[in-house]
Amino acid sequence: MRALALSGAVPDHGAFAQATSRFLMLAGTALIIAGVAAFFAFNWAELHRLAKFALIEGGIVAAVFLAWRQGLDHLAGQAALFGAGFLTGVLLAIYGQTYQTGADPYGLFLGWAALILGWAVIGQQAGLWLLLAVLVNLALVLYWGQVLHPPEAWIEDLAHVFGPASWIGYLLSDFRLAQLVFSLNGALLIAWEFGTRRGVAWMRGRGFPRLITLFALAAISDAALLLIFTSEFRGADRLPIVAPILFAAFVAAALWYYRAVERDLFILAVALLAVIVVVTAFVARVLDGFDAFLALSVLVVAQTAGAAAWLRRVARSWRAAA
Amino acid sequence: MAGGGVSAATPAVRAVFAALEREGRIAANWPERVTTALAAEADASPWYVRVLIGFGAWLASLLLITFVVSSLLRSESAMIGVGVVMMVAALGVRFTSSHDFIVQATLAVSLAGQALLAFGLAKYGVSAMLWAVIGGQIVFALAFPDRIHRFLSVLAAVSAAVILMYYLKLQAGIHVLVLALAVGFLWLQAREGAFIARRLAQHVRPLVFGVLAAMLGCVMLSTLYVLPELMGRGDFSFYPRPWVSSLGFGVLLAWLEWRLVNTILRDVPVATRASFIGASALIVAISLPAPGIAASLVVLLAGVIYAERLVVGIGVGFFAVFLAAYFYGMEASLLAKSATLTATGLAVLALRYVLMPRLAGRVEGKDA
Repeated sequence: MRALALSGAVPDHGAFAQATSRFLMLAGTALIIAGVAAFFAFNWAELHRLAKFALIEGGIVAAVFLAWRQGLDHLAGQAALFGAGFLTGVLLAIYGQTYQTGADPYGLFLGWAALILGWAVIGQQAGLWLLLAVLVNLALVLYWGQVLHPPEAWIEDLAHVFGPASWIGYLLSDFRLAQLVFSLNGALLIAWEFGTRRGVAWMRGRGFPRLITLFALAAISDAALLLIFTSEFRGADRLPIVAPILFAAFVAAALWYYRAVERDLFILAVALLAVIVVVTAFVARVLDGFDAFLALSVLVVAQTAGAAAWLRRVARSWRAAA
Repeated sequence: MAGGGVSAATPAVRAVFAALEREGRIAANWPERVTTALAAEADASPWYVRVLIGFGAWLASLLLITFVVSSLLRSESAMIGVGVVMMVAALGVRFTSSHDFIVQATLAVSLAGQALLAFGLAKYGVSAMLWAVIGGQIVFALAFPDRIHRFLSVLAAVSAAVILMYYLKLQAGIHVLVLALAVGFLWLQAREGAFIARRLAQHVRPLVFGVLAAMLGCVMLSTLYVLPELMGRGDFSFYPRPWVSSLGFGVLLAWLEWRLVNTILRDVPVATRASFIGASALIVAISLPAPGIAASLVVLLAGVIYAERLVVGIGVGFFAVFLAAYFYGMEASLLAKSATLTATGLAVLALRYVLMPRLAGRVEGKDA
């Protein structure tokens, strides 16, 4: 404890008072907001539609006012603008629910994204851009499933039973859509990294590119796995090999870029994890018999050990160069 | 002499150790020991690399189990025998090498062996199997020289204990388990420095975080709700009387605050210290139906006192996750949730407005 005190790791009286004050403010506000939300949820069905709109719109106006007063460089101002962006979607959902517009859900997410685009541009914060990216992804997936390639009715019924996540999961079992989702997120990632290289201050954080890389890798790994497990390798006239090529190119580019240019061990680890999954799946498809499980187990061990050793070597070389 | 040979140590680290030497708290040969310790710490993998290794081990062990069960084993007795052999072999080989491939392979073989042993023991009844899992995982958490294995063993032991409690319809005792884990976490945190000084950092760190994760996981059970009809008992409750856990966490919170007012806040007037402890007792009293609130405060305060930023982050993150889960849980009505959450929030803000000026005023007075 004495060493911690000497190092300054244990806060002194003043730092403790400041941190406690901030925590109590945030925790108290979060608890009251959750409590008020629970109260309205309790009475929601009885509320008049105008009261519902007034509540949500009042929240949006208050959040925008707070963002303006606090300033967009301030954490509270940024959080308020994000809150306004989130409530915009709630307003659209209640509008659709109240007037039964009959519009497809993809329209909700697309409209939501369009309405908050301006705030995202002036807000200059990763949180709003991440919300925008999630909305555009959802709009693309739902447009595919509701307009371009609607599945059979019984699959929709099944999705109603198991919830929207199962519905989206089912849609992503079409490798063409998975490739589109990958392309969208790949483009977002490139744009973000371009901004980072140009020295844009608010783009320096690594949260957004890491999450978008996860989306892109998940989509293209999904497409590659679908090809591995559903294609007839032998006797097929034409294999849809776009997904494996995109997968290999993206992983290779990520391993080079995030090692040599923008050092990010997290993305390197995730890219190697995707390689382990796809390579193991491919070997599993090629091998036959129960003995294959032993070979696959050894293969996974070898790949993971190699990946861990390489990641440690990279981290060591960065430390040595620093 | 200070700092000679401590190439990896930053000037701040050197200054701390030099000050400790001047105070006579450490021996003069600290530079060599610090160099060794820092080199070992610098080579430790970040959490996401450990997740990658853990995933690889889990997948490999699953494939190995499938191979063993499908090709070699036909009976439970054989599963028990092969499982024990795999576990002992993995443990023995792991002691001989730290090569990446060996680390991976022994982790996978050990996990596969444990699963086979558990499957085999199932023929003697669920209780016997779960007791064996608990005992075996405690042994492996202490003996297996691998951070990931130790962390997973703690989680597996606690999971088996929880399942056993529900299987034996002893879920009323969940509070004993939760509070024992909380006490264990605080004890390990308090003694961590002593363990590290005895070169047991590899042992204690995964145990601290394993016990913490298990404790928070158990508290999350209080947000679950199962229809009593589905359990065949009209009076069934997944986490009966959650206020018992809240009270226990309240006692631990008071103990931590006692430490706080005697260290960081020791120059604060007695009345302010008393009101600090009293106000948090009020928060615990109001949030009795939601034990996660007091639990997150305990974790948060432990992180502050023991200067563990990760623990502070876990405390804040758990507070948010618990709040969301409690909000969506079905055990309490929306009106009851609204009352608990709003009253707790108001108490927290009241605490801030009553207490903070006194604390801040003391700082200003000191500065002036």
